[in-house]
Amino acid sequence: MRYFFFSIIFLLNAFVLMLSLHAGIFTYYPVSVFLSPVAPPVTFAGSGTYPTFIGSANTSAVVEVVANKALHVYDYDVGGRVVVLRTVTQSLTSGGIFSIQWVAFVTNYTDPSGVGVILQEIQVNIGGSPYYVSIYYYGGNQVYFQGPGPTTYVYPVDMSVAHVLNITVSRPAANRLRISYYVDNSLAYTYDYSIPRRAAVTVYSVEGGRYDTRNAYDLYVDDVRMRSVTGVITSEDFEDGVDDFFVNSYSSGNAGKVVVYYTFPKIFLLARNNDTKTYACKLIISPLTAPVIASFYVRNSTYTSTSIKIKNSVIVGETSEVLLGGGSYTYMYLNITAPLTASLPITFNLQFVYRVYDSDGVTVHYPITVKFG
Amino acid sequence: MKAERKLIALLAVAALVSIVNASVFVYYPITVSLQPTQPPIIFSKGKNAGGQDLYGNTIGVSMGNANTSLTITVHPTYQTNYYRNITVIKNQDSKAYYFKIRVTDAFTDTKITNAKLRIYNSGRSIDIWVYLTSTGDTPSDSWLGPLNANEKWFVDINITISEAGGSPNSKPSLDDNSASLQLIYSPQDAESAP
Repeated sequence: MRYFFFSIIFLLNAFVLMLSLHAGIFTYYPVSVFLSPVAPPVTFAGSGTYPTFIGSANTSAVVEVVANKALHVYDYDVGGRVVVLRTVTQSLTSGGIFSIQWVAFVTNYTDPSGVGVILQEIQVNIGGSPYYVSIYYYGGNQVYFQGPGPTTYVYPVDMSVAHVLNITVSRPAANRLRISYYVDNSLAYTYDYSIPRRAAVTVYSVEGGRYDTRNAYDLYVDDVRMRSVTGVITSEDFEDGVDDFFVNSYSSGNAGKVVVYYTFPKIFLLARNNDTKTYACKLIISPLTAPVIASFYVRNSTYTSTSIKIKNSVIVGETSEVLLGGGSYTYMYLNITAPLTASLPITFNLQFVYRVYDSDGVTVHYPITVKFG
Repeated sequence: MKAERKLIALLAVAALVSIVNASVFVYYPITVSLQPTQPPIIFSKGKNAGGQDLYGNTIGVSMGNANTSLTITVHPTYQTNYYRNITVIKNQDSKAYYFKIRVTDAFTDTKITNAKLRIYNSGRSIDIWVYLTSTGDTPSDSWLGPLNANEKWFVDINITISEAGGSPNSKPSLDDNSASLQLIYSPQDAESAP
């Protein structure tokens, strides 16, 4: 009986203790959130490059990118080579002119041995000896105009975008040979050479790529236009999906050429800072799986961001930031490649993200949809 | 005579009943003693409180004298505006506490397509969104935590305003621009908060 009594007392104490441990004590703190909206300090504007639909407050955009076709010359093999070539074999007599022109863009360039890649070249035989007049690229923001002699002229140019390249060979007099290099339809440099008056001059071929095997790159070529010594124009835009121009090309290893859906790096959208303060801005892309190689980046007047990189899926998901000063613009670029077997359109969901410079207190996200194809 | 006896008997019964129902009041002494303590949980300003907001404005974060009430004022524009680390919830006790957020007055303007408050700790083992577009408790049937002794949690806010009908030259027009919440905490996580 005594044991039973103490047991009851113990259980009651334990129950009271549990009650006190779990006693319902609740404290309430008030919190208020107020929104005081402002007009958008940064707004979108169309670039004029592609059809663009901008939201009513200029804070969203849908861009429809036309999927043109171009020739993709690729060398992914430091032991392989590719040369896209067309044999011409035309005699250049006194007063004659021959020119070759195409749009070129080189990217993913790796060249540990410094052998360069030829963006455009004409082989000219003078008195039976071959000479090459070329536009070389060795990396960085310059190209090299190689004349028939040992001299080379370095020409600074922004290589983050495509350029219209043109080499014109003319024979203004029987004993004069002139090589003119044009970039984006402007004369960039001219070589003048004395040649024997009776020398036979033959335009033998036009080409791009590199015979040397020790580099790797992607070279895109489009809108080829060749003027023969008789003034006949031969053009190729690859829109039929076939390369009918570089018919004498050759390659070895993991290298070659193929016609692809392609858009050269172009501005697809602008953003304007309507504020007096400086903002830092960048692009972010949502996950994507598609048979596509693409890059997106941002530029201001002096600086180019790193790129979003996509190769079948997103490799690098956002750009670095560039500054957007008060009243200034930033420019958004894209560069997209897809095989002709790809199902178009391919949709890219991006966000334009900006923040007050020197602060990460607030970031603003504007949606951008890019439809390719 | 017989009737008189009956009457006396009835009166006696009535008197007895009145005695039985007499108002009897018993008083036991109960003492409620308040022993106030300093608040174990307080708000403090986050890294970006008072920092730069859009168009030269300031991210407004103010607290009551005892840091037990909080007012946040931000200046969003169209689309998604993310405010990072604007408020800190700090446990200055040696004991752990459990939390929930009760939205008592939500944003009701349909132009505010998303409004949410994010609470997280430094290791992100605590990371929860509180939606400010509907009333109710978050978590609805449990507690957030524990917030351990001397630990801090951080608060972000994400506001999305539709640009439909908007203009690049004017601010978004909102019919309802405020939300009211309660931060509720307790040393236990067994019972629901009333």
